[in-house]
Amino acid sequence: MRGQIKRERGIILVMMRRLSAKKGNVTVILLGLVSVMLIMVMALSRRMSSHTQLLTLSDYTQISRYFLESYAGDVLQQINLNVNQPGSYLYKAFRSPPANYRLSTSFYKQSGMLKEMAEELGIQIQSPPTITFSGSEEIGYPPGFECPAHLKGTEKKGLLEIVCQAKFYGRMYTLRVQYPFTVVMRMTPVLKDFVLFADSIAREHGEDKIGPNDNLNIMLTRDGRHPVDFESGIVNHNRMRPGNKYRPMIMLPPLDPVEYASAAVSGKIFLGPADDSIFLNLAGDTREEALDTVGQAGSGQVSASVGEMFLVSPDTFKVFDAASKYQHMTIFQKPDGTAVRMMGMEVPLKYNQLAKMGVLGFSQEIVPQYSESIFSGAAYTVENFLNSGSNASEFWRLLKDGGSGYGEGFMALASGIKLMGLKPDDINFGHVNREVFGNVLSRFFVITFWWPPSGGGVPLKYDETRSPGDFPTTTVSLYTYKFEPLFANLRFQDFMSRMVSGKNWNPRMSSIDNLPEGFMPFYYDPVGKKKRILTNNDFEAADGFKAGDRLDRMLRNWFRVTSDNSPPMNGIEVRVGKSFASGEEFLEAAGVANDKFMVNGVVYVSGSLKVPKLEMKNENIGGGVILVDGPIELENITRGYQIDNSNFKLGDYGAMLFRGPAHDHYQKWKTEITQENFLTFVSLRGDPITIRGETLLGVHLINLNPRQSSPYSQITWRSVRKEIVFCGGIACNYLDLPERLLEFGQIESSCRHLRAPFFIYHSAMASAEPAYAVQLMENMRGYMLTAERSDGEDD
Amino acid sequence: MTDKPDIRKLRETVTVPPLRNDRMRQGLSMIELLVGVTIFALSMMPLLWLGSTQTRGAYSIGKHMMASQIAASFIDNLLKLPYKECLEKVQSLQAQGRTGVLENEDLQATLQVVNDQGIQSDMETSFRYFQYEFAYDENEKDRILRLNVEVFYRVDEGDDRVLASVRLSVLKYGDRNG
Repeated sequence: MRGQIKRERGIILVMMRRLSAKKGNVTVILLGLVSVMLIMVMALSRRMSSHTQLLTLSDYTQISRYFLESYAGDVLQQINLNVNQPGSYLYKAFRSPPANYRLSTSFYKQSGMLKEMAEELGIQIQSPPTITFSGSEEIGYPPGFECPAHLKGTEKKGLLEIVCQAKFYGRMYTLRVQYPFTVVMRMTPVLKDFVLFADSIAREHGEDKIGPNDNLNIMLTRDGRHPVDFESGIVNHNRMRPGNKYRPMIMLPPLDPVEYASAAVSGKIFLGPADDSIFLNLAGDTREEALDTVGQAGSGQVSASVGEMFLVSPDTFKVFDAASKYQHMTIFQKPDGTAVRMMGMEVPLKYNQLAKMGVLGFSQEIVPQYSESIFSGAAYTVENFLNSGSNASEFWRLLKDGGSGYGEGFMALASGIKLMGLKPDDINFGHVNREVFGNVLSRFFVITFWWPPSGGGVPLKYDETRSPGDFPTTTVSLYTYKFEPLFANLRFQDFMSRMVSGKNWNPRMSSIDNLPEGFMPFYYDPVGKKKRILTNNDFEAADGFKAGDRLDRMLRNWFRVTSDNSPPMNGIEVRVGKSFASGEEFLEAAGVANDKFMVNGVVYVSGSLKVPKLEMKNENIGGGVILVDGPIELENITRGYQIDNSNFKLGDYGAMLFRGPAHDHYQKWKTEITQENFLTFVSLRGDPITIRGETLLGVHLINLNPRQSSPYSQITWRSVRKEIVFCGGIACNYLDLPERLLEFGQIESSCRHLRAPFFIYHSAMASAEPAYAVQLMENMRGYMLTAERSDGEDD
Repeated sequence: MTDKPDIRKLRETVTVPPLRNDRMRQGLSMIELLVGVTIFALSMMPLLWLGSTQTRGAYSIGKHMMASQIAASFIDNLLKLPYKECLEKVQSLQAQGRTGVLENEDLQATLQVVNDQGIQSDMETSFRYFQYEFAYDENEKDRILRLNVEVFYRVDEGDDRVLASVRLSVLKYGDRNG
């Protein structure tokens, strides 16, 4: 017990020594607490400070990011400004062969707004930026497009890398960003060489390719004219309404003599598809002789003939030699002694005998029922020449056959589309050297009349089955005369009367190399000096492109809109540079409000597009392809040229093409409108292209993706009242010719010779050197923002 | 007996923990308690202040980050528009003046598309006191548009007098049709 008390006393004493108030124990405790708190405060404060620092850094980074993006945007805008300016450093740099190298930045000047922003934010711009090409590669082509060696790699895609730096609060921020770019042709390769490309026009022919459902051969012809009014009682066609006015679609030859003679720049034509045949009724004019006389031009009263017999070259017939010349001649006589005259040639026979072979085009004068028909009052009917029943040719049977035919009135309907223009007013010059692709055949009549020496005459009736050596004989006063050709190799079928291209030839059944006899291709090869069919194998564009596949298939592939599952075609899709959500957005970007129309590449427009009048000058138009996923409406595109559509005309007869107002205008357009500012409007899914202006200059209209398999109007002219002046090219599946001719018929002709719209090819489309546009996309790639402490700077 | 210390006296002077076998009064006097509590309270006050400050700070940081994000998204939304549309939009936004973030049409449209009640209510809670203000400047000739956006938030949720903000600027370039 005592021990315990002792112990307790000891403890209390110790406690008294340690805890004595006099010794400041409370102070010590408080100080201890305060110290602990201070340490905690410092720790927390430090933590807070690091939070604040992080926050500040995040803010700085955000601000720098937007600043550097603005900086890169500034550089990009100035590249865009220069890259399509011919002669500029960037114009050449982007068009050089694909390679990775650093570009000079001498073109770049900081914009005022960027400088202001930098000053306001306290950012130091590090100049100049670095611009480098990286990863350029050539853009390919769809199957069939055979790019010439010298153009390989000129269409390319790549990345343009821009590195911008700026210093901000002791840190150097660097933005490295890549912008994809493409260099593409401003016009569509291969297609741009065509003034007219109608790849399914054969479907407009109807099943029979003649008669009331044939919508190609629909233009009423009489006395070398196409009467504006479709008169009733002549023919009963399903689409051509009596009382309506119609004018033909005439693809004029170049209004420049050099271009006229050049197949490369005169504007090619393709009528397809490649596995179907098209028969164009050549318009006739039995008054050819009078109008062939150039000297009559002085009267000022002569109008050009629409007759197309100038397309029938003598070498079409084996019985003539190449040096033969047509003449206007009496083929046979009527009982009243009047002569039946037409263009033709005399065929010398043995024993000084003679046959006369006349060529007749489709015209009202040859319709027997017409009171002024050449057969009217004649001893011979058409059947005396063309035969009847099963012995007649297929097309003739369809018109005449046993009362169930469509009627001879269809002999008055010539093709509504003329591929070689008007009959040349200088017959010694020949017709335009224009290549016509596709199985296009000319349809016309040959009337052969044998003149035995004793008088009288014998028509050589069509008979394909007759023995080739079975020539006719005639007996006059007990003396029998025999028709004997001068050369033994000639057969009866070479002489007989016939409808040339009078049968429905199916190219799917026999190759064009084996075109049966009795057909005349539309195209005349001036080198081979013969008529022949041109296929894709014969195609070579002025820039060297060749066609390794059917033209219709190639171009459809080019414009095909592929779905997610279909393989890319390397066509127009891969060349699209910019996409616009609406037509308005595109027009805004093109600068219409600022009197500019800068396409500069291939653009896609979703929805419809209404293009207002484009009257700005050429230099304010940047050429390119506008792909529209919807209907297109176009007003005048005059490019600043003053054109009086009421008085737009060819020259006087005798010099219609190479003189006169139309020629003078074309001479200006020819040099001033180039591929750099040519505009191509494409309806991507077959929606109509509606033209509401009279004048379209330097325009290529394309509608090659049909909405439906049957013909419909893809390119239409609406609300047009003055003469149509179109300079460029047209490509579509269908023309829907009856509708077009009706539209053209609503317009008063401005020219006495060309009573049709002016469709003129522009030779710049067939330039040997295609023009390119550079497209810089705004979608950034390879985005990398870095920050590092600047030299000598602390946080 | 004389050796025995006077424990009573001792206990008057100091507080002594009760001894195990002490039959004397054990525990603390009121004064002792008061002193102890006072000291504890005094020591706790800075801690509480620190805690409160830290909480406010964290709240503020969160709000700042949110403001920064929303400002960036406003800017990005404008940047993706075509030039003319962007100009028209910023003009209308500027005309609105300072506006609650939740009243922003784009944000509302997004919420409608998301159509999630949870997200909607979360957004309404988070951005309750956020406001934004747009401004722009244009160089028509060069087709350059400066976009400024400032997003305001309350430093103290209950106090609408003290606001902090995040401000971002960027340049939008139009096609100069070169």
